[in-house]
Amino acid sequence: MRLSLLVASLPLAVAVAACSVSDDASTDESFQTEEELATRALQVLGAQRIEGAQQQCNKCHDINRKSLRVWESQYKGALANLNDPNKTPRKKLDAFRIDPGNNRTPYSPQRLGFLAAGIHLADLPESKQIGDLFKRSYGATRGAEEYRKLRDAARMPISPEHDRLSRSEFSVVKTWIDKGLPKLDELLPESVRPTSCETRISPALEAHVRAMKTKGWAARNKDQQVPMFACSTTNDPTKCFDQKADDGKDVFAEVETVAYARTWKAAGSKMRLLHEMAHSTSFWSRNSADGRFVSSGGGEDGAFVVDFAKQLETRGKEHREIGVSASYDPSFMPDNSGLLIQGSGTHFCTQDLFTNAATTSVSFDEPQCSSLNNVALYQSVGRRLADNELSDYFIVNNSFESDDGYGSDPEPSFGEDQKIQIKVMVSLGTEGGYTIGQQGEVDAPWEGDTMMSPSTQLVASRISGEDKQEGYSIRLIKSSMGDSGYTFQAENVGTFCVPGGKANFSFDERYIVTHHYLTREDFASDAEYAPYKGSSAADIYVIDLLTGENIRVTRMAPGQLALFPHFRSDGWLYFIVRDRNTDKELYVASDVVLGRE
Amino acid sequence: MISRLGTIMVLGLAAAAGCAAASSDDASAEDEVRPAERVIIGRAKPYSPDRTLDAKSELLASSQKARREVAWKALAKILADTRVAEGEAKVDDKRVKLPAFRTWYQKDDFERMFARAYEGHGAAARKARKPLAAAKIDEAFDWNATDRGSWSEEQYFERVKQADTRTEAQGLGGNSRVSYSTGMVRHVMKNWASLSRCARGEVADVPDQEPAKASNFSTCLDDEFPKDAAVVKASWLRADFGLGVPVRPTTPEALKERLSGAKDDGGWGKGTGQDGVVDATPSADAIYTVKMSDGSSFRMPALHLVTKELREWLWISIWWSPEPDTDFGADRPEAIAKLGGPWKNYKMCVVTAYEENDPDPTGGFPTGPGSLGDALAAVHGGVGAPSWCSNQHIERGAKNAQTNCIGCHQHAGTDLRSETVLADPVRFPEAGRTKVRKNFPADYLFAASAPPESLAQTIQTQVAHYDSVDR
Repeated sequence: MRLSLLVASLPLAVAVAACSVSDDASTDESFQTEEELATRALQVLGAQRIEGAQQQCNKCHDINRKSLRVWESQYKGALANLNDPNKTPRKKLDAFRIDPGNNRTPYSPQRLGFLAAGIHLADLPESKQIGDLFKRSYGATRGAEEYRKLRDAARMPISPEHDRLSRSEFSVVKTWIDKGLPKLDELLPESVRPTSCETRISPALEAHVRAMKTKGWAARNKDQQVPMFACSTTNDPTKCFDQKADDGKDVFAEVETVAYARTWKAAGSKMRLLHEMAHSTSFWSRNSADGRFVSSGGGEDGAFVVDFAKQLETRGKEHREIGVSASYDPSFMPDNSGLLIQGSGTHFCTQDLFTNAATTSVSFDEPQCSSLNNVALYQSVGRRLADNELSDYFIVNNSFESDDGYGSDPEPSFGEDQKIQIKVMVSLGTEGGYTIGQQGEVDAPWEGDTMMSPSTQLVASRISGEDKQEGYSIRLIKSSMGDSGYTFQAENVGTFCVPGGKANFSFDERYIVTHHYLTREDFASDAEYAPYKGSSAADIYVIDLLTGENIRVTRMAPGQLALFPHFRSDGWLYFIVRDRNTDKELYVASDVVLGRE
Repeated sequence: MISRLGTIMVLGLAAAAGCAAASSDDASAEDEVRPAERVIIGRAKPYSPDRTLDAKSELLASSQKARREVAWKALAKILADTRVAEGEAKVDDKRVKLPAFRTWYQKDDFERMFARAYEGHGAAARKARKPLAAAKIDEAFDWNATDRGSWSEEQYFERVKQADTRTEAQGLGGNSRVSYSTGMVRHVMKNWASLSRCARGEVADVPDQEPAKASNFSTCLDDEFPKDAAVVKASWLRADFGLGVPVRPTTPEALKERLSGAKDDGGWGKGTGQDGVVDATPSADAIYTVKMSDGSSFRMPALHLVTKELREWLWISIWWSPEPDTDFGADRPEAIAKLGGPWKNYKMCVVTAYEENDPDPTGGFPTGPGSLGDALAAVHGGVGAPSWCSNQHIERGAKNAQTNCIGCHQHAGTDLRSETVLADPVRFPEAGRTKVRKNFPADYLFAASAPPESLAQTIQTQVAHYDSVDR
């Protein structure tokens, strides 16, 4: 059978994408066989096992059987939604949001599947169809603006530095998908994915955790007397957050005293409400080592930093939020020195910019800020521990599954060829600053969503099983300095069999923490689960790397999502709660691991 | 697998320096002499000032020869080896020795000591903004020199044993940019309340206002620094990844090009890869080199030494050279050569005043090819013209090869950045070398308020923290 693909010769009238599309508008690609079509589509997508693969989607995603089938399924769902005769235009559009029931939430590429790689093409039939829906739902002017929001949030690749598919490239891919991905299994053979999980704690992991107790970043920051936010005594985390307002009430209320939060605490002795957001957040949140700042995507500037100190200083009367011209993925440095964040490139600003009360917004033109190239999204950052003011930072990336903060745990689809990338921010010396001077890779089959520990010595990854996540893999990263730079090794030293999202390490590297969207398996009975069935909820879980204990930190009600947990240096745990019942977003702190032997 | 990407983008690039300290610098202010290393080193060796120098300030301003002799003597004091406190720290069975300045306190020491003293000060004293008692400061110094922090005894001695080569032993002193003498740290701690006021922006900067007291021309300190206050600013260059040391000639011809602005806009250029700049890869015997506990190595191509022996400070700068005995190294005294190690490979310039008052451009030194006399004459603008001393490894940006240390440092404690000073010849003539102020907010100490040191901000961080919880 001869397959033909003829792409009409139409000029691209509207440049809908932020970056230019190097389109060959009159491409006529024809394929003799399904194998030729599949091969070309896989080349376009960047399947590394296919000769001639382009560097496209694979900059962030692993192109393998499972990931392609996940995207295919999402794509078919998107088409079904667009063509559903029983939905209003507005309902169809809301179905593309992270939370289809909440029209304040942003649009999500997961709701589009493969279509996310084509919506920058204005003359694509589906693009036109979506454009028409926006016009009918919101009117011409606002509809165009809303459509722009969808494209900004959901088009792939999202990073402007990465080339988008040309019209002919997308057409090849679309044709292959519409035909049901023929020859996929033949062209991308792979071993059997993990189908089970067994908890394992190796002696090497135990030794590492014990060493970090006195030599990790928690100990280092403690030795350095870094003042922890809202603690009345240096280096005593049991004396924190107990300040009173003028009326005698807690500045940071205990959750038991607040109606909508009364049931939240499932472990630990204290859980405090730190801050109520004035707007919604997007993607992950992170906090500074001293716990004074949190940062996330969202807000008018695209991202923000909240300085909790203002609340403390004014006893709860005032809040301070600093707008940041970025998009998402903040990472604070473990030494409390600065913030790295993504959006139109990667930016770094030293923390004194945020401590300065005069800073109201950050554009990255500030002298405290600089830029880095070549750092992919969902990065995590650690700093080598040494007697070294100028020690190197490592930035880790791997393929990832976006987590919108709603719904269910993102299904991992990482492949057999997966590699953890380690970029080295090399210190050039006192006058030269830092440069990304080396990039290493270590094999990590089936693993992705990798996060690095503050010391750079551990990474935690989600394991992609045959039909579900098969827990977390912990690898010990051994890096040794030679004449030409570092050599890296990554040995698996532990496996923990719990579900959840990207996992973050505590500063003493004894714990990892994650959130998990609740499923029937989290409840003892159908009756208990029933209220959650149509109302997404997520809880925070901490895993003890020494004992394997899985500690449920929160117990959220239906419609309440505890998300994106992150430790501060002294062991307090911060996370965000999206409460759909009250339409609030709040930052919360828990002392769940304090005092554990 | 490793792939070298080469230099892609510099993060935290320090802008114009030397005129450097008041510039942006994002190099992290992380600790480098940790509690364990401080215990190994012990207390810093105090700087022993020449208390007669103030009386000789006119002589020093009018004699390049006298000035250089004083500078070499000061250098000999800080470069001389001193034994570390830990008796088990040995290389080739001999107790480790560090140059005296390598025992000095660094920002991390200051953070620890101030935090300790300030917490111990108590809520009432903190709220009343009372000065720290001398005994409280002493206790903080003792604690810092003896408390190994979180480390176990076993981990401590593991660290001691790790430093068993010369460069590793030198690494015990860290690789901080700035180091402070005991006298300087004590004074900063004593002046915590006034420095924190400046950090909060509560002290107006009025450059032409006469000092409130004749004996104190600063506005962020209760008193000027004492005579034993000294500060070192070192430049460190990474020695791994095949990186080298850029070397720019300091011949009379080369200097004239830079002073006239004909080359690199009057700056030292960007270094490696620039016209006339060669990269050297000197061995650890030839240039002061340290190896840190994580295996990374750094060379020290340059160093400023600034001491309060003169009221407006003694400004000394040295830089490494592959031809160390020419021009600014030609008068190196035997006292320096006797120190051994790499110190014979550093050249030196010095300033004691804003203006050059030596009537002899050559300073009375021999002239001819490679001579000090000709080099000095190249930077001599005549009696009454601005003085000159600029370090190619520390001063960055346009016009910064034309500077004299003291000119830019007069603005320490203000919001003025070096780039602003160097870019505005109307307000700050002669590349900022001219005295334009009547008061000197931080007594010429950039480290008091400018990043990355920002000692006043370190103080203010603690002050703000306790203000928020002391209720």
